Amino acid sequence: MSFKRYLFLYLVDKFKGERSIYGIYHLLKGKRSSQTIQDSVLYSVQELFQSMENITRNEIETVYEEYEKQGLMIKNRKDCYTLSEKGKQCLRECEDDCRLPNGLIGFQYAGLSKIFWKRLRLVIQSLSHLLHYQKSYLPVTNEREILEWAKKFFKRLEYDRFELAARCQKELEVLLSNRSDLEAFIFVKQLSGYQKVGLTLEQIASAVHLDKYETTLLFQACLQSSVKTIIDNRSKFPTLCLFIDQVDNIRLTHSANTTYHYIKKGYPLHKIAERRRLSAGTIEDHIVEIAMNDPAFNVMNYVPTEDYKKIQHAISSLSTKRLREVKERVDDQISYFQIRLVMAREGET
Amino acid sequence: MLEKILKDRFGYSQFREGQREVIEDVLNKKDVFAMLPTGSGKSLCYLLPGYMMRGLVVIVSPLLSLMEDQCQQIHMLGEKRAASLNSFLNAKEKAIILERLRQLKFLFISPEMLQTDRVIHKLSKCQISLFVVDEAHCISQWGHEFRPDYLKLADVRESLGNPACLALTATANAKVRHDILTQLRITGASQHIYSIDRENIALHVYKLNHIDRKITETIETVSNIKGPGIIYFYSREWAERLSRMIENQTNLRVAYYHGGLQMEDRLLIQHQFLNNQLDIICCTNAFGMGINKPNVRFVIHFHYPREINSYIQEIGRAGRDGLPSIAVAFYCDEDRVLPQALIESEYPDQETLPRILQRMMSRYPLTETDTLSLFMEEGCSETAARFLQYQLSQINIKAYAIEELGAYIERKIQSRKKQKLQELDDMESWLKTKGCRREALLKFYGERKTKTMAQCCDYCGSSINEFKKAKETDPKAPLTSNSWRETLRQLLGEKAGIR
Ligand SMILES: [Zn+2]
Repeated sequence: MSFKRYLFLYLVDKFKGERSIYGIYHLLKGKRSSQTIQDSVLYSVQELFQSMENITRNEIETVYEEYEKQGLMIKNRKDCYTLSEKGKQCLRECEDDCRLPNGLIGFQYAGLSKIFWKRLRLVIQSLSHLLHYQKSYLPVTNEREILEWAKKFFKRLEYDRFELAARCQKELEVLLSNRSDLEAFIFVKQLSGYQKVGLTLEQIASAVHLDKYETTLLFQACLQSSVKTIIDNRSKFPTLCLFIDQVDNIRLTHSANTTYHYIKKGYPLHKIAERRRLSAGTIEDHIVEIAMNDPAFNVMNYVPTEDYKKIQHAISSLSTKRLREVKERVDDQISYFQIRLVMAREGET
Repeated sequence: MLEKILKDRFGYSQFREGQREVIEDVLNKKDVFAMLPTGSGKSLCYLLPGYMMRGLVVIVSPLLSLMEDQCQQIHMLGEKRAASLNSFLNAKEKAIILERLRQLKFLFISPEMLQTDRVIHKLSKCQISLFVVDEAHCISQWGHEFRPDYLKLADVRESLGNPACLALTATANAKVRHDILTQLRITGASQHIYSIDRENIALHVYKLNHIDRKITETIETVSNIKGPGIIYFYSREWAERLSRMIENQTNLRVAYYHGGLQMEDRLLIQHQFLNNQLDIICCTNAFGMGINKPNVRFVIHFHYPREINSYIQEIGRAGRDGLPSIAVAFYCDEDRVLPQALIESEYPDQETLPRILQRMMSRYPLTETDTLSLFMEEGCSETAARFLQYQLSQINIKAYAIEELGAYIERKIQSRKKQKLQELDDMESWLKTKGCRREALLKFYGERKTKTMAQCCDYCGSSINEFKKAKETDPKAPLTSNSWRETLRQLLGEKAGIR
């Protein structure tokens, strides 16, 4: 069965007709907006956050236009769809052969993994050339930040290139042995080295006879779970560890980050809005984003314990994740903002 | 002396046609205008003198991607004293480059960066040995890629104390050449004009009556002739489609390349092609600029470009090693529709123009960059936007009523479109030439064919069979043949580790 069909029907099913196909687009692309991050938690699809950065609007539109024509989904309002009976049937059939690869984590690791991967690719390429006494080569990336980082990386290094190569090889072999051979294959074949240019994901997909969506997700699963393994077992991967250092673990939008600075200094919400000349609503969006991204952030400053429990109760008794329905179930003085904060927190577990 | 530097620095044992003459004039501090064919090593004309003169060589280059490639190629030669300064750098990166100007030997710079006082001030404090204007045809309104900010280069050079000037181009007819010399105020320059003709590239053109025939002909041709090669298309969809068909129907290693690919994938595909891991690239005109692969054996045009200039640039990517190569263009009558539509859609139409002007006036005064992005937001192509921005900068727009302004710009657009359509007509009339194709191509540049050659063009009796593969080669082992562990070892371990 086609993995592509499985994935895109699965997502429509998850979003229950409550979010548009652009919500799906932003999810896969990994848009760092409060809305997208929240939705990913609300609809339990966080593992797919930023799993396909290269997807285009056009691609999504084409896919769903086709499914609508085939009668797999029904338009519910503008750009929002639910699965038809035929679509549900089709999804069930797909589920026999397809499932999301395990190891996908989502927004906590996708951003970090991306940087890890870029650094790793460049260092391996340059190392492979150094081993052949080649100082110059055409780098696999032209992103200045990554190139600068690699330069510093080699300067700081306390042992020689042969040692570094041996360590990288050993650690990568151990790391990738945790994953299936297929995933390890997809991972390694993308790497470039001396007289050996890596393949694109699409080229690998065609070589292993999978569609590009499945190949992409398998790669992301392998990458994200590997990065998690490294972080959880720093002492086992002393070299690969170096590739994740100096990356902010919490990846907030720039504006939310500024808001966070004020919060840490003890400013109340309305003061921040005043200082930054933004609406209180915008600052609330930021706070929700922070709550979702930083487990250490204390939401109790904004939701008293009693209210928290009431909201929590309302959410669990309702099957839908629509704010309005939750709001109707709780006391009047509880705000939408507070409900969103609780949802942000509860989504994590 | 020159030969020694050529050998030591660049690894070549002799100069190519034109290089030595240009370099000698440059070293004698003359202003020089040089037209050298594509792929003839134009950059050597400023790199080599750079090592023989004190001070900094400033190279003005119009395209960001080209600039980065050129700079990277110099780094590949082991020269670290080269940098490129353009508007894509952030403030800090720019500052770093400006601070270390004195340590640099070669500075690539975009024309808009030369408009800022700070940059001029910093540069004027350095000793500048040579002021190079690359792709100098961009200075001319009659050139195919007119860049208005090139017009200010003469003033810039003056404020830098008039260092010797070297203007370089690959394709410019007499009218454009005259424009370049006048605008740069180097009418007394020593001129080196070499033929645009690439004698080792045979020119073949075939008319087919249906698009399906074109597909089968293309696939058959690439299966038979010697690669590696490039196939040009005017759209991303076509490039992908033919790439898939070739992959399925032949044992050739093929990939597609266009502006829609992610940067990282673009680099991988380019590197694969350079490293001979691919036989064929199916691409749009986004591919090729700055790519220097000597052994490309054929260039096929599945769709023809919009100007003869682009055609010459594109086929010029074949045979840079001087060995026999072939350029094949296939065309059908229906091919005209798309390029024509593209030309139409590049500029705002009569209904949207007043609205755009209104928007612009309501935000008056706007900086150049804001004007440009305003036009591009409204759907203009980058070149169209630059053209409009330039036209507006030539007049005092405050002195016009909005309707007058609209009418004025509309006239300019019409004449620009007319010129573009004329260029398309030229391209098509060349494809339909009844006679020697080379003779006809040279005529556009006021040149004549002077020699007879065995593989001139299909009309003169050159045959595609001359370019056949020696014999059916065994399909090459795909890169995916060995396991991930082996691959990892090849990259980082075992043999690589021998000290
Ligand atoms: Zn001929």
